[in-house]
Amino acid sequence: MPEEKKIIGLTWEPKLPSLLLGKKSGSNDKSQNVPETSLVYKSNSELIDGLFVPPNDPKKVNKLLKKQVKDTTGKNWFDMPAPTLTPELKKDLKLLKLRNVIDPKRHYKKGDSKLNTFPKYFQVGTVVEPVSEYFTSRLTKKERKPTLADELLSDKSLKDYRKRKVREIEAKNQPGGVDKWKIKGKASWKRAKQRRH
Amino acid sequence: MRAPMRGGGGRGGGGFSGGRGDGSGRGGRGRGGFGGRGRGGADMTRGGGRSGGRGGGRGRGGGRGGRGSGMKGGSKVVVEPHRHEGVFIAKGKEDALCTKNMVPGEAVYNEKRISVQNEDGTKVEYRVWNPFRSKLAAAVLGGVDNIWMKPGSKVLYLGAASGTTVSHVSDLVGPGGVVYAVEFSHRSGRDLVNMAKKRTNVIPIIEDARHPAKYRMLVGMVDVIFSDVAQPDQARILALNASYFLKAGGYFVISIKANCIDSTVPAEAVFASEVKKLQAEQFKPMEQVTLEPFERDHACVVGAYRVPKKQKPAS
Amino acid sequence: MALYLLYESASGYGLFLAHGIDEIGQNTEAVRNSVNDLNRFGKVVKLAAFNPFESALDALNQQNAVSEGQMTDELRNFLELSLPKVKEGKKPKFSLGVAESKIGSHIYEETKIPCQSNEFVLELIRGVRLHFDRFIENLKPGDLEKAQLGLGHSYSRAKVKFNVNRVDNMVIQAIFLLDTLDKDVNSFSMRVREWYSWHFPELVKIVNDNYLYAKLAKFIEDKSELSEDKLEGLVDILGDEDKAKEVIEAAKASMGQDLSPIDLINVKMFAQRVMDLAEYRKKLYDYLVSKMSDIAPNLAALIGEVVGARLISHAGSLTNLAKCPSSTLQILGAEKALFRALKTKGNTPKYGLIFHSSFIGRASAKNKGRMARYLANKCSIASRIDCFSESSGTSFGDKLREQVEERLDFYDKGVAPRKNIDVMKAAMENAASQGGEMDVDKASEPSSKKSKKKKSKDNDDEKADDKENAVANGDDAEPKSGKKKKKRALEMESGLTENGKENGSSAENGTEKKKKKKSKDVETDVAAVSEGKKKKKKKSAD
Repeated sequence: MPEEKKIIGLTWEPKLPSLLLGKKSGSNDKSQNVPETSLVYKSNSELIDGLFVPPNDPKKVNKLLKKQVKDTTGKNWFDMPAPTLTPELKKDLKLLKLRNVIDPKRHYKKGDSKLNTFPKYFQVGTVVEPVSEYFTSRLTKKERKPTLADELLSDKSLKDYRKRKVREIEAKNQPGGVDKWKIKGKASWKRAKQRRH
Repeated sequence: MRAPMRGGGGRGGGGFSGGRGDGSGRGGRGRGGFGGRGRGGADMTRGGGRSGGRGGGRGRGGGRGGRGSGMKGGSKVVVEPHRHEGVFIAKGKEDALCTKNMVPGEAVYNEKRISVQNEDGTKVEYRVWNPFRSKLAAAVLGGVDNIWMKPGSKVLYLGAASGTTVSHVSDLVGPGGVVYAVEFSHRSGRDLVNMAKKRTNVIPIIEDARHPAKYRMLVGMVDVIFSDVAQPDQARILALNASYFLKAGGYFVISIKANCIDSTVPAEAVFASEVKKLQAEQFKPMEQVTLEPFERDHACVVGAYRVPKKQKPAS
Repeated sequence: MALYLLYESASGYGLFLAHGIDEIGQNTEAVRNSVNDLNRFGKVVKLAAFNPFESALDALNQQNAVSEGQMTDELRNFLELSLPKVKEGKKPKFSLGVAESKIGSHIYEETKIPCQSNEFVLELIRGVRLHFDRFIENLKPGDLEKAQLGLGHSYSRAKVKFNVNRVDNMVIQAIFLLDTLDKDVNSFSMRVREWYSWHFPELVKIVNDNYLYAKLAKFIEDKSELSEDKLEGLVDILGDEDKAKEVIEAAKASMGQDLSPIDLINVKMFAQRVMDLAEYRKKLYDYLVSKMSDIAPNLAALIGEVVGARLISHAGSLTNLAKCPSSTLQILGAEKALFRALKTKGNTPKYGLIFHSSFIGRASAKNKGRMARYLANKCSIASRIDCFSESSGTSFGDKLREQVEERLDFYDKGVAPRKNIDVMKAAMENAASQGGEMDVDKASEPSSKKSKKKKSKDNDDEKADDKENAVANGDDAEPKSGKKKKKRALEMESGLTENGKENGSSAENGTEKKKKKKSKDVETDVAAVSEGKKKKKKKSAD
């Protein structure tokens, strides 16, 4: 998967210049969208592992330049960047799609229901309350969590409903009849499959 | 580039902020609170509506000391681009319309803000746009097709009042655009001038909008005129200003309050008569939305000015 | 017949010559079609002359003149310079198109240049406005917007009488700085004491004041050099000869270590800094006092400058303070206690920042709450007067202060306070004699406008003449529009019916809505009514 930005700690691959030209954009992103003035000399900060050799082929150079253009929404939405989808972000976005079922008393309009299509451009932010609402609508430090999923997890009122629902579903998926007695334990295959409903 | 839209062309958005409004709302507004001024509000049944942020009032729940609804300070939200350029939606347990703050760190009228940290370390701030206080936000949530304002456009805003909506329009058009804000009252004018001190793309004009000749030195040609003057002769005011300042092929957005034009006639008749008046003045009204859950008996008409006649291809 | 166009812009006056009219035809439709394209329009209209404004002040003058349809000298010179001469007796062969007929007629009167402003001209001017920045080569793309911005701001500020002196931001910053300075001066003084005590420990016990200590440290420097001839200087600083002698004695028998000259210099410099800071704090306090008397004289006269400044800074601005109800003002600063009490259904706090005014301190324990409420009401009135009144004087503030004092006396000794109406009448007369703005003889006019002090005073006079004992609200007769608290209406009605004198207008008053910015009469009346009910009943029975 081509990495367009330097992401620390997620994956690492040796960046071989000859094989993966697209990846060079990771380091070139640091310099602005200015095309390289000199194709031969590159300062240390722009070399990855000191191994970057710029391509001679103009087609490949163009390709490189095209990759340098940042992926944003453009000036009509003030250049909102496209974040890299980490599993936490994916979880949050999925939760937003499923928020209809989180609280039995809240009802939302039907958005798009495809669980695996995510918006390309978005940003995650924190709400800052106005000064006059310091005492009314504000989460305490303990209540603040790093992601939306954590916030929903720690909400006490939703916890009971969630637990109850999960138990109901598990009970529904429990096999009845003879199969019940075939559940031998954690080692049992079938049980794992049933649990995964 | 158009923002990629999920789910049916931008309609059918997300959920609603259910605040703790008064239990006894009017008629069809009984269940589920709606934020802002504690009105009990029903789910919005209009197509294409996106919910508005709650106008933070104190809670009215008895003796609880007032807990704000869903969007509390410190909660996490996801900000996405809206179908309209320059406008964004913040989604969390509740949705809110927002604009990108040109002056990060400051709220103009005590609204909520959303602070975002980008991956490259820069910080961006968005301000929540309250549809109960702003007719333009109510029109956007009411599903208007196009507001014709985008980053970089020049807007003439008639009836700027204290500048709450003007600040959002200024955010919308960004540093590359200009907002000429006209307001006659001196009290509101003071607040407007103070707000314009921080935002360099707002030009405050404390003058009567009925006499555009008086401020013709201060205004250039604009792309859009937004009018919220609430006067009986607002169609004439709009026409006069358009003849001075609105470019041919420009657009207008006017918010009509039925009560102020004629309170004896039913609202629909008032709107129809206003549309007729506009048609007589080289305006071409293209759509009309009611601002219904947010304002009573208000409508917003959007249209074009001096539409160039299509040249028939010579056969 | 040549047609010139006068175009006023934020950067200067422009004169354009419409020379291609014959080509496009004389009707507005044709002009419209040609406007959009710069090339076509450039053939129609070309720049004849451009006169940029010299300075921002000049531009403001021109804008003011243009908004009134008058012609200034600069415009006149520009026109006479750039247009062909109008010969006496002969009919001029050109005409000047202007956007507004008023200025056109003025120009014609003064300079005999024939002007016209019909639809045709307006269309041409629209085209000029659209392409203006392309016509003028010297103007870079953003310049025109900057000029518009500057001119718009200066014009609007002049209109709203943006008085720089009445900006309340200064007070808010000053009070914050005052607090920070206090903390800093205190910590620095402690540091000086500790530092110098290394050399001369006994001094700490003799001199308690921080500022004096610093001064002494700077004066004495090395204690071994302290001798009788320095007694004069010591007495100057300390003001007390005994203490000075004590210092000299202690210096002789001191246990402190000796410091090298460099160390002593450092201590001296630091002591000097502390003294400078303390003096600066004093100056800042004076500045705060003067600023408060500029922007909120009545509030300052009522509760003092520091408490007033704190209230303003807590509310955010003077306007915010004026907008909030007096019950909020009473507990400004005690929000934590307030919300805690609201959440746990306990007792809400009785006073916030207001506690630090001298009145609350002087009230007995069980009257503190009542005094706090009364004082908050008066402060609310004072802040509203300060925020919204055009004139600035302290007459109302002084009278309100007297009322509070009288109320204190009433709680202590039972001395009946004066009637609110009398106090307010005196206050208004004071203000009138000070400002000379109030028209005492003005006959009462029915007015549906926002109440100004004038009107309320007039009605006051009338009612006071009619009914001696009635608790008449001066503004009643005027129909007003605006928001009003229901409670006040009910209270007033109850107060009035108690007296048994139905004031016809006050009955109507009860159902009307009033603006929050209503004159103090109503509020103080209500307070007076609810507080002094018994006394009034007695009087009306007479």
